[in-house]
Amino acid sequence: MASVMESTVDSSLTTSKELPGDLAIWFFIFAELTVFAIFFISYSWMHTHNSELFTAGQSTLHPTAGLINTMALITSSYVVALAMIAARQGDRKRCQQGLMGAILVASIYVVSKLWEYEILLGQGYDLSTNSFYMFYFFMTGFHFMHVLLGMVVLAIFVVCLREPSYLEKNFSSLESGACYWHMVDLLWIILFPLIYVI
Amino acid sequence: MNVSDDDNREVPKKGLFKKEVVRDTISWLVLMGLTAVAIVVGQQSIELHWVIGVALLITVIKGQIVSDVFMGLWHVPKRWRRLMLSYVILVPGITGSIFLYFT
Repeated sequence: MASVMESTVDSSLTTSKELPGDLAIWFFIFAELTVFAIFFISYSWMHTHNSELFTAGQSTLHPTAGLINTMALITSSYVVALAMIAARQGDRKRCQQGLMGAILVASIYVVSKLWEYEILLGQGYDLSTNSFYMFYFFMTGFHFMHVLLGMVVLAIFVVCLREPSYLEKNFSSLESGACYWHMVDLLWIILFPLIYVI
Repeated sequence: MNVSDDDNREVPKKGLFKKEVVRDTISWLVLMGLTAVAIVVGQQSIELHWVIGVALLITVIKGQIVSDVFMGLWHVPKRWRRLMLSYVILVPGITGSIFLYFT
């Protein structure tokens, strides 16, 4: 597919020609992406071979919660991107505020997801109900764990950024954390249409 | 963490940061808009093949925006960008093909 952002991304904005963050985080990111790819493909295969079961299961979900979750994660990712712009400027305070804002927005996702789990579990659906719910709870639950881990990582950065020299000395670590957070967003972007739209 | 890498990091002029903020904000608005379109398409009583096609095309576009703009892979060595973009295109492509072939 032709690059959609080709015309909008200005190469003059380049701040570094190197991969953002540490190399190790990228191996970790691609390992995580591969695991989720296996889930996504397995889910699609099972969906097409148990169409009625999966369609019935999807009808018990809450698309509004899915929409809120998606918008919360996208917004949180955007706020982290803004925080990284502040970090590149050397504006430690604004970076810290950005990361706090991202955690706050991500907590909307956490509340919304827990609400949806509570409703479904209250209706008697769980991992063992059928294949659809097994996939639903496992994939979204595994992703939920990643969101929580990401929030903890961002919170650690918020605390560490109290130290004036932290930003200068640990910019690469900060970028690694931001890339992990964007990966969590990217995974949800693929998960969302599979579960709520198709 | 390698401190010398950070020391060598190029710090752009302030005006460029403003452009970055504008670019990220536009990307965020596009992502929100595409999410809304995906939901609307999913609720329409149109043929399933179209829903799958449109929803997965939107997913590819959104994935590309996140990797290029938010992750900042637009300006890194091409092999990394290609690796991420191939994921963003291949995974929805494979899942979409499964849906389209078996449905």
